[in-house]
Amino acid sequence: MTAFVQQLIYGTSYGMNLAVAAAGLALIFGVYRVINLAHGQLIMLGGFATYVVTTQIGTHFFVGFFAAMAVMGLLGIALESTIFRILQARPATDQLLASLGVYMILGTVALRIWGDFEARPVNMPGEAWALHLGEDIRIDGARIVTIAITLALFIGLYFVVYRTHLGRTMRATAQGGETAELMGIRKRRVAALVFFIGGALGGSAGAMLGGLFNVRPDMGFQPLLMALIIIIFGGMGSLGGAIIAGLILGILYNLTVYYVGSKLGDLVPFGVLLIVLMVRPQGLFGLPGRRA
Amino acid sequence: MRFTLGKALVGAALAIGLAAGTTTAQAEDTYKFGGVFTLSGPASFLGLFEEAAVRLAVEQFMKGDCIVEAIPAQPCEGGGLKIGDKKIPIEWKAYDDVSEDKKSIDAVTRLVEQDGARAIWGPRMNSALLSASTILDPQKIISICAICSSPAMTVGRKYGHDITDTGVIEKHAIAAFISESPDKLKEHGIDPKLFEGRKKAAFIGRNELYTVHGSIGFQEGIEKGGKKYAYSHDDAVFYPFGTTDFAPYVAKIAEQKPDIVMMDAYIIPDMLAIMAEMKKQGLDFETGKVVLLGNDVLMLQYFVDEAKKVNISMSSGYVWGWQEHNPAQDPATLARVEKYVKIYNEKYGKTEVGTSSPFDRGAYDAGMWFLYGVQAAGTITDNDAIVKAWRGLKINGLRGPENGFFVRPDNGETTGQLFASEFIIGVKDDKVFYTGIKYRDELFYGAYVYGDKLPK
Amino acid sequence: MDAILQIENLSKRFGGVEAVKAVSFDVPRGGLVGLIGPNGAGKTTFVNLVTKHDSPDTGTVMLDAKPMHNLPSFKVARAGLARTYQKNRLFFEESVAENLRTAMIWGGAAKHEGLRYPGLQGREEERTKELLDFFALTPQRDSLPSGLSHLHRRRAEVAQALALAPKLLMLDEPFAGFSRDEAFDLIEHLRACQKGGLTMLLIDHNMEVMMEVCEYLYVMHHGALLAAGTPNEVRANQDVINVYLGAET
Repeated sequence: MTAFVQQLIYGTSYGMNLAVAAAGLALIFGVYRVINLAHGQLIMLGGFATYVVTTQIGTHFFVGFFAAMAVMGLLGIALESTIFRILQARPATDQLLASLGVYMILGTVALRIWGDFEARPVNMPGEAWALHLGEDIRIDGARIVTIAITLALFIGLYFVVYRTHLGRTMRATAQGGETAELMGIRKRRVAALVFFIGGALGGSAGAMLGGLFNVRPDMGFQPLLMALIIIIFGGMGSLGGAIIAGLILGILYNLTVYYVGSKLGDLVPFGVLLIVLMVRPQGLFGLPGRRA
Repeated sequence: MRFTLGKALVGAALAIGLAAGTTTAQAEDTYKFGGVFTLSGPASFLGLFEEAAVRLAVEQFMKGDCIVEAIPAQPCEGGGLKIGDKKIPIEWKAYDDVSEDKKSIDAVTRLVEQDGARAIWGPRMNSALLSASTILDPQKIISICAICSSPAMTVGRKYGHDITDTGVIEKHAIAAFISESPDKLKEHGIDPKLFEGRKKAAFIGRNELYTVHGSIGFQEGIEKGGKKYAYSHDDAVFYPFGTTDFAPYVAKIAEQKPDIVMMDAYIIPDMLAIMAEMKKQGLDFETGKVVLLGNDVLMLQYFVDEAKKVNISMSSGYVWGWQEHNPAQDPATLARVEKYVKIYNEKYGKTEVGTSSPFDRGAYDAGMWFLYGVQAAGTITDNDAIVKAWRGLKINGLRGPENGFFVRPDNGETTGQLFASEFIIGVKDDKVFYTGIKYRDELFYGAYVYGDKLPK
Repeated sequence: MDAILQIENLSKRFGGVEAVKAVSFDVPRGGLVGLIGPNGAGKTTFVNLVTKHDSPDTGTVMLDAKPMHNLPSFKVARAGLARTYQKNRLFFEESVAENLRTAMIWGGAAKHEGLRYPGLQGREEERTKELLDFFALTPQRDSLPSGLSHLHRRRAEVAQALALAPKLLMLDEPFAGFSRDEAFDLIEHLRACQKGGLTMLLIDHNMEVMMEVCEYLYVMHHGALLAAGTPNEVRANQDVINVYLGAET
């Protein structure tokens, strides 16, 4: 039982991290109808931005955290205003491939700059302490901090998307670009905004991952893969779906590794993907027949 | 129609004949060999240095400036391989596999069929290596790797050469170390109570053939050491490529309540993340709750320094590993290493290859040793003769004096496996040191080392 | 005549097809004007050019003497030119009330220019309530568009367009799929808006209804303007008779 609870805690913190990574991808897909594979490297670069600002310059974790969000948000806008805008009239596969290209370029650049030999810690608040529940259950301080940040991000995101004019504008654009323009909505600016928020979410995911497990040039790959599965699982473009699916996947992953076998953890996301595609192709919160 | 087809066939046959003729003609005045390495992408750090070191060996052989010597002595006069009274220039060609199996195999095929290579370095990845062996072995192409650390290089292969240890052999060494008597430990200045009362061993590594072999070797080694520890290959914990959160994997080891943990990882960020998580989950090697064992990457001074940067101290006396070379070498070896490092660093230090480490020194030894072997055979075409001559040589290399190939105890045949020594290394005051304990003869046993087929 | 919308020489070519040929006409302020023509006459393309969902090859569009043809479509909408579509384009994941609210965010250019039709006064919530009451949609305020009847959906679309607070509303085939009673129910609402100062351009091929509703009619055929005049004048026009007899056999 203790072990189970412990794994639930690990799974929750891992799942929340994945959910943040996926939320950025879901938001961009929801509004822009493009799967931005470069998102994985935005996560990685977010980690490095935090490393540079927090560790190398020597500031508080949250300075690095917000710097990562801002810089990755701007990088998101840069991607939108270049490749995605140029390719917007082209088929979705072209945009997907272009984003894959960006993924590879950014990965190579990061490797050239930082290499893969070094320890790159990011000191996070709470790293030194842990909460003990009963005898054996332990919650690391850093994990509590990431869960708290994640919750704050999701509350903020919910507020922006569902409680502000800006959010309503984004949702309207997601449901029909042309109708949105008819309502006086400037699609390009919404796209920039969405890529900014998406990039910032990626950056924050990288900052937290970096805080928990050090920063490294290949740290974007697994979150990207999981995020892709999460947004299919959660329902393409659904933010709530991404959060719930991220949590489920994170917990299921940890429980599988712990109880079934360490080699089988990797099968979980794909198993879930397969079942979702067979049983509920629109995902947890996708509407049937919704264009995707 | 039939006429045309016939003509085409004749043409094709002629072309093939001509091509074959050309190859043979060229083969007589130049010795060609090449390799497949990961030269770009995230794993390029595993390929760049090996290619660079072999290339340097070729250049020095051509210049007549060989740093290492063969036993029995071989000439290194410059101008190429001395075969009879002729000098045969050496041509080296390397391809990048970008860490992809398919590109590896394509490159191997190209080297053999188009470039006329008579020996192939690599590929590094086990999966590609196994496929490449099915192409190379039937054509009697010599296959060499200085960093593969895999029994797949040699077991059951007449032309395969592994010029390093393997994941199995090195685990035999560390298993032998933890099975040592308190007296032997004391003799080498190690706390005789280090392993007292420790009963359970655990194993964590990335999910790949190298670590699977490692776990098997670890189990074999513990059994051979008198079964002082409970360990079964079935208990090994393997995490997938790209893992960021190691918590469930470390929890799975912690669940086994081990006294000793063997961490078979060589990717530095992975290792640091696992070690940090171990501390959090009570598998504390800083206090001696567990003894942490690791490999030759863990025992690099560079790694110890990196660990310190993330507040991980390895100086508790509870972290042990091995190196394939002796960090406190004899003067002759040290002189060779010094000369080599100077040349290597001048040539590559400021490029993406980077400065010299023990790994490129092993690759350089392998390159030189092989070229001496070809020369000793007196032929550049007869690979059976080359293999025989090469395996008959030893080398006074950068890794130490008198390195040779392993001779099978069951049939007396010389294998292509380096008869490698493993030197047990510890950390004190943030510096790695050689304990004085080394193993060689005790490491070479079992089907994974000299069987005819790789066990399934 | 005080023209709120002035269209001059509007043309559009798709490949070899001249979809709209040098169309020019005015819509008087406060008028209820119709644009009719058989299917395929180029009516919808014409509307798209006016709202800038398509760019015209040539021609100018002036709303209240301000050029629209060089603005992007969202600015045309903000300037006070609203439209509805033949097919439902409501935001499918938003309730009826939310659909209206979304239109209010960026619209509203005409709010203070002496217009008095429903949904112009007060804050977002009051405006929404007034529009829902006006179109008898209050029971459906929280329904998704997919749960609405055809009639309610059409009303909601018009309500959404009005929520933009436009000076001029273009309705593309507003009566499609309606019975005569339903059509006249909608017309009553439109007439009430007209009394509140809204100018409307109705686009439809249903000549019978359009003749009864509109004060003035333009007739399009093969992309060009064929005739213009009061319903009676148009009804008597020999070209129009030929086209409609040819089209509706």
